[in-house]
Amino acid sequence: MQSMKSSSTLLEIADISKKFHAIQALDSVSLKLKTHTITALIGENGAGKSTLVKILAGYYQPDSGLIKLDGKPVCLQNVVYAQSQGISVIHQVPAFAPDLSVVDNIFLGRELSKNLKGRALSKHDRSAEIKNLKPLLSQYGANFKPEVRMGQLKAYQQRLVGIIRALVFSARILIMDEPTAALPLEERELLLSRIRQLRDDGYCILYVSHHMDEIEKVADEVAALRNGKLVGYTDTVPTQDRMIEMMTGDRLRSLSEMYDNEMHDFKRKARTDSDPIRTSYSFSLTPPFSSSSSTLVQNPVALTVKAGELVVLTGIVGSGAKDIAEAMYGMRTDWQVVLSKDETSFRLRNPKDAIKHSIGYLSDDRLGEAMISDFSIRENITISMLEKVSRYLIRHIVLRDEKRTAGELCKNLKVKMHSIEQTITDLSGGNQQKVMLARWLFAEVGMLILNEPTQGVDVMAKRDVIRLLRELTAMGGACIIATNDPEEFLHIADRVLVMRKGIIVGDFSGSAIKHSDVFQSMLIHENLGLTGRRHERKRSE
Amino acid sequence: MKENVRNNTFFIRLRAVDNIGLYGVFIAIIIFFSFASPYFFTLRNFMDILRQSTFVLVAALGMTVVIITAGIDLSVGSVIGLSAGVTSVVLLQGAPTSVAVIAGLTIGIICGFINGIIITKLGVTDLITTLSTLSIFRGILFMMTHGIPFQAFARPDFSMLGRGSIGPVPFPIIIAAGIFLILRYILGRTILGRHIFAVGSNSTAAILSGISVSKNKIAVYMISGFTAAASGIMLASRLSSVPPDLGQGYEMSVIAAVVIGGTSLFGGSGSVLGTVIGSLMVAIIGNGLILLNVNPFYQYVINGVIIILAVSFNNAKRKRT
Repeated sequence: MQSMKSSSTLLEIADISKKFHAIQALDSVSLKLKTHTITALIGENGAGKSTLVKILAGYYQPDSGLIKLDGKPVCLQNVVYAQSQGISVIHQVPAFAPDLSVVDNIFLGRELSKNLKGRALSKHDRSAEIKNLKPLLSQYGANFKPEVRMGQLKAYQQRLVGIIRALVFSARILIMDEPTAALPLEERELLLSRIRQLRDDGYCILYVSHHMDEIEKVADEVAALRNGKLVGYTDTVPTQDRMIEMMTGDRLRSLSEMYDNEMHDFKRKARTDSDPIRTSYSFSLTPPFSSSSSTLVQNPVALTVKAGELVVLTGIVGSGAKDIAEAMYGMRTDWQVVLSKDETSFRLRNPKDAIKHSIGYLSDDRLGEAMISDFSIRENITISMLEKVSRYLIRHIVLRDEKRTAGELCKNLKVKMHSIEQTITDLSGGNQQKVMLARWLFAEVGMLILNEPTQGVDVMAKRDVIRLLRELTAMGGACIIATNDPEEFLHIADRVLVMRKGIIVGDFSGSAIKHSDVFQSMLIHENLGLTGRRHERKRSE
Repeated sequence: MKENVRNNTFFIRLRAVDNIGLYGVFIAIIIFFSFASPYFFTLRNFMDILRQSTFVLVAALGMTVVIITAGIDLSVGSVIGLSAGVTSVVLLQGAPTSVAVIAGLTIGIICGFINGIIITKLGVTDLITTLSTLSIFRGILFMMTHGIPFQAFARPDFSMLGRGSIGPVPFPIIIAAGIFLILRYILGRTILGRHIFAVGSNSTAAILSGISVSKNKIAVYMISGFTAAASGIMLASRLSSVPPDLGQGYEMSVIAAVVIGGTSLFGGSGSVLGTVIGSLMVAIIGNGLILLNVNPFYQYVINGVIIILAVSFNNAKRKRT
């Protein structure tokens, strides 16, 4: 896209293959990475992106094929060696010690010392470290002191530190794995501009991402993997639809087409089928009255979700949308949560209470908060409502019923698997997410709260998940999706609530849902409503 | 293609047999000693091995359930002593055997309940809690006995528990088998068992699935207290005496049996069948070495080595998946 300033091939991958047991993760992939160039690597989950990254990082050895650096073949036998050759992987969420300073984090394990003899006991030379670091920090717009604690930095600044750490140790090839994941929109832009600056400074960047819009903004070349094969390689950036086509083959023509046809059908169905007298779930959420609480939400929040309605609750990171979603499910034990349903009010003290009142919750942290990794697919599906398949006083589980119901759900949701007895960790991210949804279908909840339901899910599974949510609401279920990135849900939402600084500041419904309005409402800091101003004053007191 | 699919399901099934390595080693050890000593592979020797291992085994069965929730119960040795002490006191008062046994078991369950309450409601870690109650329960037994063993409480029907047999099968083995079957059923086929595994595997996910972690934790410590008490009562019957240090140091053998049996200290996986094999393995190696005239002091070293091997094997398995 840009005319390169003397871009030359730095790293060449030729016919790389890698097999894990019976699965061909990479099938003779060839790729050239150039200086002054951002090459985007795209592909669905399981297409082989991470295998390729790990091979370049020296974590895996290829079964066959050749890697050439500066035109000479190299064997990246381990991670340390790959780093010494200037190949550095910047991970999605870099691991930092939040209580150490920026400079200590950057030099962690590779501290400079005053005398080089007897490394372990030699004196730590912090001033030399800071001297090395300062020019890089200012060059890449890191306007903070190297002595500042890591934990005090904003998310995007921490990502920047991750990149600078690689630069300090003379990396030439930067491999970035979803560098903007979980960043708020504004910070995302800042980081992307720094990545472009790195490109202009001559670095060779491999940019792995699911975000087509970002790739459009930063990439110069695009390489697409599908089932371990390189299926597309362009030295310009194609349109988003074209990129999706490259990744998915002919299964899915384009994202917009999918929304236009299917979603409109669902939407219309939901409108016509809906019952005039609908159950509604009204929440009144009161955050704890203390300044030390872990949430930005300071004032009580009230919101209502009707049966058959799909509500998107959004706002930039830290707006409180996630806190509200968790509080609605009774996860915040220090909040006071009252649910009014069918003209009766209940207090929700914990998730158990919420489930009792037919509310389910899908966490954004699948591995940490939702999946039970030691369990099979079947056990993961039935765990929140085992009463449904149990009998007698001793609560004997009727395995036959359990297997049948779980099996049917998996079939309906098209979970790709061999058997429901496989452990859940065998599945890909998208299929795991389907199983997590199946858990609540099994429990037959009336309302589902979802926190970032498409995070870490590939395009095809994303489509299935979104379609499923639409189906659920069409059948009379209520859904509320909390997300920082509402883009992919706007097409299907009945209502969009926008939060800013712990207050609901925007409420759009039906045809009033416009992309630009929603984003404007999320981002603009002026024109706070009356409640907002009061809230601001209270905080400053 | 078709063959491929069949192959896959075969491997899934094979992987489902978690402890395949453990069973292999177990059988190898039996074969080894059978060839090494002519006295080893006899019914009488096997009954001896079983009888020796039952007291540890019974407590280890309850411990397995605790460890599946990623907990640990260091107080089992003291619960063994205390419940044996209470049973003998009740017997000495002239109460019927059944009353004495129920009293002993109840004390065990209460001890477990106390452990569970301290861990869940006061938020003290399981290690510190049960280390403290190990000392507390033992202290109570010392106060009860004034340091002098309880004796002369055994009546014929009480002696039956630890010494009697039905046909060739010693009575303690029947009790152990009963407890084994009950726990296997609870873990495998009831909601309680499923919840216990869920809590051990991912307690946050368990809470978000509407499972009460504290209720399940209290339940597993009560189960452990119950099995420790059963073991203590059988020991009292077998020895016809309750010295104040009865059961001291048992926690080590009990935990070792569970760990060798493949139950992970990280929680979420494990089985009582593994624990049976684990405790038999320790007993068989001890028995075999005696038959081979190996210096008995080596036994301690060998037991330690087995634990390290078992856990490192387990870790390797964890990494692979």
